Amino acid sequence: MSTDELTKRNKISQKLAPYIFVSPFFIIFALFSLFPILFTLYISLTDWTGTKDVSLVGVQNYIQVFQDTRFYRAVGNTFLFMIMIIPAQIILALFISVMLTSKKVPFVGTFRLMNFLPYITTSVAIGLIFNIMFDSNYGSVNEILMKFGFITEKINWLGEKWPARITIALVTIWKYFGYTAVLFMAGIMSIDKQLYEASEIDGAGKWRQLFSITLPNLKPVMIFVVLTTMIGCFQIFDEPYMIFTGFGATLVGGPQGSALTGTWLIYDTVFGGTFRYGYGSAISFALFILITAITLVVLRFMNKGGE
Amino acid sequence: MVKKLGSPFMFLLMVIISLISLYPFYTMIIMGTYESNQLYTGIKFWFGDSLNKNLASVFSINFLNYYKNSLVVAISTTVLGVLVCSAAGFALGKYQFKGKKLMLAIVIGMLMIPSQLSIIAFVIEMRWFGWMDTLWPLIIPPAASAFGVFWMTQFAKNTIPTEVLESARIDGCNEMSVFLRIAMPFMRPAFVTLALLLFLWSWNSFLTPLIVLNSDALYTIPLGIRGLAGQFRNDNAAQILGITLGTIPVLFFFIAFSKNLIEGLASSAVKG
Repeated sequence: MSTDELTKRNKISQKLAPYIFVSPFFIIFALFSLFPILFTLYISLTDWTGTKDVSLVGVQNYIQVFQDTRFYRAVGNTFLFMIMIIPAQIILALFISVMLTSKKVPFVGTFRLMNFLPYITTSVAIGLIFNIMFDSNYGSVNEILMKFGFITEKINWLGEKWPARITIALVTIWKYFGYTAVLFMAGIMSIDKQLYEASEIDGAGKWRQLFSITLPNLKPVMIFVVLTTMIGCFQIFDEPYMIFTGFGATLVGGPQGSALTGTWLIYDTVFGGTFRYGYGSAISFALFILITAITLVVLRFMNKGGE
Repeated sequence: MVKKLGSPFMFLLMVIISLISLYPFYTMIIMGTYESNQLYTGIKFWFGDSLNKNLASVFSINFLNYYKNSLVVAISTTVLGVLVCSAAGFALGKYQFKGKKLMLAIVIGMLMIPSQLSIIAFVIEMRWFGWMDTLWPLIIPPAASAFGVFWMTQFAKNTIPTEVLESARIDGCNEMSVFLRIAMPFMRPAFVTLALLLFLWSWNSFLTPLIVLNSDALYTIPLGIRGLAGQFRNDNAAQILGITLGTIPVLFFFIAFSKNLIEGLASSAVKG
């Protein structure tokens, strides 16, 4: 074979190779991630209840969704969770990550692990442990709060609306802020050291450096964190499900539905006794559109804010 | 020393936050050594003495089998996931080809969409495949992680020098060995990070197994452990001990590789 032929063959294989490399991923991805979304849209236009008879009913399910108080409650709760969770989580994570990258703190690895442990703990464990810790009569949280004189009467954490929401927000912050801190640490470590050195020569203090170097350079990570946390709030399910139903009781959405979120509503509509596939899919797709809208708004807003 | 710690107040604050962060995890470990009826009797700071009794309860159910199922699922999905994601990531990061932009747009778009939203359609699809009450839905679909491909694409783009690939081609390497022998070693740090995360997500996954699995013989740890509390018994302490035992593998991996995790994160995604 001549060299020319060889290069020609190489050129062809170089053209084909990327398609071969991406195909295993995209076949699985198309089958199990993309197709279900389109299929959800189709199901949402039917009256499917799991039996063989399926008929198209148009937007009837959607009309029902927009009249459903539980849907509004789930969306409302999600926004409440966003307000309660996102600022606290970001401030805590920033604090930890700035401390641990400052080179002035000993045992960095140990502290990093301590704060990362919640993220690797399975939600079933979190449900059981927090159920015990937040128990109104015997839980350690009430006991500690009373000992230090913060409260005089025991709080019914898991039985009342707002305390239940606060509990779920605390659990979620606790679980994810260490992970967020790791993302921030990674971001801070990739900032050019010379920026700090130069500003030190100019006499900038630590706070000044935080606001004029660290935070602006963390913007891409920040956008990622804010977006994923907001979307994560729609998905809050595992932990409250285990906390409120883990011990046999089946309290959908927590006390008075105060911790009902999108995922829980879908789960309950379709797998909680009734099989309203069509209606459940309409809820899913409505949330899907809502999430897309939020993503676009946040991206636009945050990209403007930094310029 | 004081000067080295920065502001002592800040340091103290960090210690307190870290202790609060650790507390529930610590509680989990010690609660597994008490009797179930002692759990709701105030704060505990040290181990109880019912470890053996709880161990007996844990192993009275098919705990080892749940453990085995969790391992089979998590290891399979991790290996498969790392392979398909790095191959796709390499192609999207290092080749120019038609359709690449669209593929990247789809991947990034799907990053933002929670898979739970399409769980109904997913379950119906699983029925068509005959995959209900099997481990396949827990292994194959999570392997094609949008996050994983996004990750690997960024990493390949930023760390593999194009000249090295070119010179390997001139030396007569075909594309497959360019990927396996030249690109893979460069991608190793991202590899470890992705493997850790895929393993963790699979190991702790709850909603999908809850919906697709019906038989006890196939249960993973989070599902199986529920069998210790229910209609007939309510052994919460044994449940907690079982979960603690179930946390050991992930804990081990994260202690062993936590440096890689941070470095892997630092070197790729955040530059996106």
